[in-house]
Amino acid sequence: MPVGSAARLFAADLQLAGRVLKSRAYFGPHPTNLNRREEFRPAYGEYLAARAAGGAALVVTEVASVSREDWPYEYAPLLPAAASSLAATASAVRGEGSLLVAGIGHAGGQGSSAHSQQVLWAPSPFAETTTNELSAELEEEAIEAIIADFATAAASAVAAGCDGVELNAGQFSLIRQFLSPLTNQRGDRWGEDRALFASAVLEAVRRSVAGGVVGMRLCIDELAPWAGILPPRAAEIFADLADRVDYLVLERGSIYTHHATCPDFHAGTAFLDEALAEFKATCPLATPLALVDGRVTVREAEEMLATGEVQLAELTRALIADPEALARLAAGGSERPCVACNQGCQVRDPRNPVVTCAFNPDAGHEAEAKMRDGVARGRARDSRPAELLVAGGGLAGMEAALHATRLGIRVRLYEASGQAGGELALLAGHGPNPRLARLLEYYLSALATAKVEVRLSHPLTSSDLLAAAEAGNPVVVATGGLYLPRPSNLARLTENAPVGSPRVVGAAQALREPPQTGCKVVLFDPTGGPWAMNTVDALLTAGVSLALVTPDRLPGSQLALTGDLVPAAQRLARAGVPCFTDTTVAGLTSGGVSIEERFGPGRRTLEAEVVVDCSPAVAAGGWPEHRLIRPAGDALAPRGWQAAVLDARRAVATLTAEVADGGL
Amino acid sequence: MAAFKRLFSPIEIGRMHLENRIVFSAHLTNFAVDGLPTTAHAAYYEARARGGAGLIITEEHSVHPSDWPYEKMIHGFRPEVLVGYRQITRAVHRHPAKVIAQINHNGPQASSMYSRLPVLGPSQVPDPLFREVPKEAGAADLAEVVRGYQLVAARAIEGGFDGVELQCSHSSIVRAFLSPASNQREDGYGGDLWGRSRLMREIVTGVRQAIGPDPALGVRLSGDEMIEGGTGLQEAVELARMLEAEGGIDYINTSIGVATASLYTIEASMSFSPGYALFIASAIRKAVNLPVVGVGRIKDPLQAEKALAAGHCDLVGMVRAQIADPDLAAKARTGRTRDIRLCLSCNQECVGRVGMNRWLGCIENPSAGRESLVPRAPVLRASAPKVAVIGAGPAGCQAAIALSRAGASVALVEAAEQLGGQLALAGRVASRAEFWDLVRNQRNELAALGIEPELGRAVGPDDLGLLGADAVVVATGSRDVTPGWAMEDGVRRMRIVSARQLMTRSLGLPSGAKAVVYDEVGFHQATSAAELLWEMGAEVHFATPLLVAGQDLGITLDYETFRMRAAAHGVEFHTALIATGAGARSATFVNHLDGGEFELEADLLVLSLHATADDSLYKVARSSGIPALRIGDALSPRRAHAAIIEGNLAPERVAELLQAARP
Ligand SMILES: Cc1cc2nc3c(=O)[nH]c(=O)nc-3n(C[C@H](O)[C@H](O)[C@H](O)COP(=O)(O)O)c2cc1C
Ligand code: SF4
Ligand code: SF4
Repeated sequence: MPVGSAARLFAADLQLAGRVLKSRAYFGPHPTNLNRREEFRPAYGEYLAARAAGGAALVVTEVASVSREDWPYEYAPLLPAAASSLAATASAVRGEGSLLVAGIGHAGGQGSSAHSQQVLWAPSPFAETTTNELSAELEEEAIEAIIADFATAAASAVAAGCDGVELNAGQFSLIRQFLSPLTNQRGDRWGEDRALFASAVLEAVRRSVAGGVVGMRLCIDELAPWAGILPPRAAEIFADLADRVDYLVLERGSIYTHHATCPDFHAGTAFLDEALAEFKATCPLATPLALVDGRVTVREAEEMLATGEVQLAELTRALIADPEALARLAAGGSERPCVACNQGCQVRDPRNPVVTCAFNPDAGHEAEAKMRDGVARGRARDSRPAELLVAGGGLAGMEAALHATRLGIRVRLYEASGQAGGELALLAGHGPNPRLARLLEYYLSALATAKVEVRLSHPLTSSDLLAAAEAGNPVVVATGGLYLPRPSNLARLTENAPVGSPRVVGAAQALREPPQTGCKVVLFDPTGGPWAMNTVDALLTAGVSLALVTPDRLPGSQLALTGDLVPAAQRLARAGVPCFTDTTVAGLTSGGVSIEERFGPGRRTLEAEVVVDCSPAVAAGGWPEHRLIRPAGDALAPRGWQAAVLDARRAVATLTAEVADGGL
Repeated sequence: MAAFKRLFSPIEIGRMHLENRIVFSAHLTNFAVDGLPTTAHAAYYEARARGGAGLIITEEHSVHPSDWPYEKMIHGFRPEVLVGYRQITRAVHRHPAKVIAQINHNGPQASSMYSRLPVLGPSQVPDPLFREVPKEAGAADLAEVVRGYQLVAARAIEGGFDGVELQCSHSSIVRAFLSPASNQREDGYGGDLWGRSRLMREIVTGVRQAIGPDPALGVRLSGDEMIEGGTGLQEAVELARMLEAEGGIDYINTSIGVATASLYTIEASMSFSPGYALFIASAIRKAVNLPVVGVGRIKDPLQAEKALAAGHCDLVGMVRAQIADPDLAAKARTGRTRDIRLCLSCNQECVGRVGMNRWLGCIENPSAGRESLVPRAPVLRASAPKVAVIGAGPAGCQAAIALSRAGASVALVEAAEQLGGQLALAGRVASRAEFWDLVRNQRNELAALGIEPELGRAVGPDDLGLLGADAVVVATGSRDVTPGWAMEDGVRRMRIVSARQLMTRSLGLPSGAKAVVYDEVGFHQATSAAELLWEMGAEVHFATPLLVAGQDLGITLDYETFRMRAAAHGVEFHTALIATGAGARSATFVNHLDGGEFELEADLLVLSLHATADDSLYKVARSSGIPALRIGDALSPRRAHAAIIEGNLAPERVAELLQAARP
């Protein structure tokens, strides 16, 4: 019986509809793009089963549409059309002793017409926030039909072997749209009693799942105080439904605040505490509860359970990041913590990215990972390399080292600087996300536990690498990227710059040594990504006087998926940062930079002492060509966390095979 | 036929014979599923072959697993594609047309999102759209890429294609090597044009070797990348000369722009002049003897014939023209030019959908991209009901057309004196004038079906019965509402009009008047209003709660050109503002990002807000038991494509209603 520091999580003392949960861990519904409209695919089953095997007791599928006209994103599953393939998913999860519950819903006016080619239906018309598409008011017959659809979908899920259903009345849901005066201004019975639809759906679903589990995801606060649902109202609503609900998940956010429901680290943790207190003041809760409130690690979940505040631990992102987190913690180790960055797990995007994790790229790709590691393990058994050398102690280097030790390979890691962690350590130390420090801690302690020999302040030369490879020891080169003058970045401008021109530094340099308080800084961002915004946050904390220049139409243009797009714009506006969009930096002047608006009349000058260039780094290259030498991460091409970790794992596998082949 | 003598004269491309000069040039469709071509491809290309196109060039096929820039790309590098290849070529070859496969590696203009591999490029210069630092391709990488081209070219020929086109023009590793903006190499693959073109030359030689002498081999070149330091016309002409001198290819196709940085020039919207990129083909054709394809917003056979007559090109690429009307060539050949459904160059459902990873469609041709679906049955033929369509905007006209085709007897009535509804207004600024072609197309289609719209007849709630119809289709559009904030005690204190009212051009405005456009919708309504205002001599401020002014103009590739025109007219943009009031001489706002208050002086306030569906007749009909349907804005005010789709589906819906109404 695993216990350790996750004792409460592992308590198997909670029952839902007569079914005993093996733990308190809840893995919630989220889009994955692993399925198809009418098919739950095997890869999805593997994805869920890995989390179930890792300890999740209650697993909920991606929310399936209950009506054909509701097609909120291309790969949103549809029930009952996809029910036959759901059976395999159910047995994969139930095979691990966990419950599988089907998430079911209808996105209403928050859907998309792109695939259905039909109008969006809502209680009352409103404009969908991303596309600005206006919905149409549902007619009486159509409302009745949707209620029936809920019942049919629920029945099909149970028939496919699910333990029940979870009704979505939270974000992206028609049920919430009916509940809220923000989206329901009807004059008929569905408007006079806004809870009538929710109640009718629940009643119909309850009847159709018989003794199965019925969970409900409910919006506790629409964050639209002028008309939306507030916690006391949410409590009143739930009070009337509670007798038919086996468990409750509370989340926040509504039509204007998609980004606030499952936000990134900027939103902090435990952000529903006040709302929950208000909720409980109105309706004392007897139903087992989970909260989507920014607590994203097993450690936080354990603490939350300890307070008795919740009975179920919402561990969705925690288990995407580390499916084995529970087991690891129970065994006295430490979890590989989710850092709430939202840079891999948020996939509600027309490009249909597959769900994954910025720091665990095997998530969503379980089969590939299993195959890669299985083969590597086999090869290592045949002919284990004496030792793996890792040059560079950043994320890619640390990951390569750890991954090799998992295959039983001895590792020595050399880092040129005095500190391991590379850019992860840099951002952990100077960036806005405090969770990165915990991830770094995990790596450092895991390296120690795995007895990886870490040599700091010890750069390796090309000949060191070659010598190791010649001796049959494989090498991973993970020396990262550098900010060097290139025609494609701003450092090139320093060449013929006039006297008194501002200093040009890369983003990493700006984080390492932030300019002094009050220093005039112009930040140039051609990426629109999280790195640049982290740098902005750090510079604002350092108290510089900042201006932002970007060739994009808006700052942080690529942040829609992390949910930080609007919050970042708010932070910039509140800090009074002038933002020059559709603009490039044309040159340096004495005491400033000359900028050029893409559509504007001409150039103008901004005062600056320092220019921070967020253009990406370049791979420095220069490692020797050898069968046993592999680059990983930014050393290959500067891309990001996910590529660093994936490269590292693949490099180790490839090198293991190379050693084994060479030994033949 | 005599009218388009050149267009319908045959031509030999290497050893390939073409019946005429009309080319359906390459374009992404997003019809692929799990990397393989589908029956949607076969049916789509066959429709254009049946419609008389001389040459069809398929969308690109990836030659290597390191190239997977968008989800629904065809994986030419996987042998399983052969099944789909054969399906496509067999379908096209049922007609006189020839079909060529475009093969490509996008190089740095790509993403690792799907491949989970670094993208490849000549140098570590990230593409401005994809923003990934490429891996600098080494000798081994390049050899593998060339090998990929050879394998996939050979596979295409095995699959029945008549030839292969190498896309070296706007999104390609070859382009990246050719362009000084992305190629900073110092080895044999960089430096002068000879060095930068080495990869292209290796690929041409390799591919010719792989496919043998018979199949056609073409190269597509960009004549101007429209980026700083990119390839320009002179180099493009030089390249064409070089290609001809080196031998191995049979034709040159042309294009303009870079797919990522200057996409708006490749598939230019209606704000560009027709044939805007022909200068490229023209310059290249003067320098080489190889046949040259000219492209770029050539919408009708007359423009195409003229391009040939002027000697600009030997063949004419007509992509969107044939998306909108697959039968364009046949109609032109038989003198039925009035029947051609002219493309609007609106980009809304072709480029706009494809850019969003959705199947390619067309605003006015609801069958585009759906050619493989079972053909619709004339569901009303047996009952031949009388159907009254009320409102002759795009929804109503389309419904009348579809109903008539399905066997109904149709009466189309319209309150205004003209057809088109809001379309008639949308075309009233110069940059959007071709939107009127949609009205023209529908009018001609109605006429061909013998439907005579009854104009100037307003239908009131009591008139429904008088129509004597078995069913009514309500397509009465929408109306504007003045929001509460714009009034004080229910009274307007300043001149306030809707964008739509403004577009009627009935409004007088003193020159130099201050006008504020307030836009909650984010599309062309407000930007066209701004354009009309500056034409009228007003000083224009543009305010919007959105974070980007005119945000959805990006979808139709009109963002850049609109912003350029607006800048030239001194328009000032103010984003993140929610309107709070309209006083006698100014409008007030609150910034939703920082809570700050903001005020703009104004003599006139123009509102582009969501309208309200005008469905009162629908409700009357329902309550009096008349089978009724509401479509288009009368259902919910949206964009024109929705109106057309719903109009097009009217027969099935009417059939259901009549079925249900039967005692
Ligand atoms: C949706 C769409 C996708 C396109 N994709 C490609 C492509 O993959 N390869 C290519 O060479 N050209 C591509 N093009 C460019 C077309 O071949 C053609 O040059 C362009 O549409 C201008 O011609 P038109 O005005 O007749 O449409 C594309 C065009 C469209 C409309
Ligand atoms: S991508 Fe970030 S937020 Fe998502 S699971 Fe991974 S670490 Fe957590
Ligand atoms: S959507 Fe517009 S631009 Fe595209 S083919 Fe149709 S009419 Fe032409």
